[in-house]
Amino acid sequence: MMGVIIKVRRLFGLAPFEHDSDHWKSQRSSAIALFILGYWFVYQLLFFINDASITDIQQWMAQPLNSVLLALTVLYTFYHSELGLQVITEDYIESKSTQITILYLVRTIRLFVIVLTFISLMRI
Amino acid sequence: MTKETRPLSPHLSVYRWQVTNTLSIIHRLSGVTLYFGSLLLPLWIAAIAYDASFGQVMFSLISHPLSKFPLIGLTFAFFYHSLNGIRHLLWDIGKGFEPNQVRNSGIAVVVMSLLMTSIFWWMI
Repeated sequence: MMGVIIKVRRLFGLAPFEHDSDHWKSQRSSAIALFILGYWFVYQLLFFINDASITDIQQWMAQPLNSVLLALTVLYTFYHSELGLQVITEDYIESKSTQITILYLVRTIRLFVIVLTFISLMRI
Repeated sequence: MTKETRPLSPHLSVYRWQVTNTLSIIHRLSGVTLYFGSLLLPLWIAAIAYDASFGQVMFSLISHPLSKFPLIGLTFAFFYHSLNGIRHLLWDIGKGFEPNQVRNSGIAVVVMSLLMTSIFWWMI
């Protein structure tokens, strides 16, 4: 049970930055989830969103399955991105304080984006 | 703040350029590109949910001819990063590690992602 809770907190950006094997495993599992969600979104772009009107897209977005998958896509995109950007800053930026500043900036944007997505999807 | 004594990863300039390390750095570059590009997704969701007129503005921005080049770059980054990600996951389970396999799978990923980007823009 504890394992599930920490995983959900990590997905929502409500857990501390991960390191070592936790980071390694999360980067892989989020990659697999995001692969599926990403290609689902590309499929929707090509076969639906592409030539739909705004009203059509609003209706599409209001469907429970689509809004859940969109929310998951945003959650996993910014989870996976943060894990990746963490590795890149650690590899290429020498100053520890700059690394931390960038990570907190990325985390802040991530939380903002998650809140924006959820209030938007709940409103529609 | 005390200076960290941990070593920094060797910088790009020390390597001899070849297929493998070029593709590795493109994986990171495409990841960073996708991060910035992904910020469009929650903005788009909010635009659709909150204000159809703002959604319309975003629509015309995205479909503007000048937006085409960055968007093509973004789709290439998506296809490249997702396909090359499979390569990374296979290495993690110990597959495809022979030097010629690493090289050939890398070339296959580049060809496939160029092809998928073209098909995507041909279909859209």
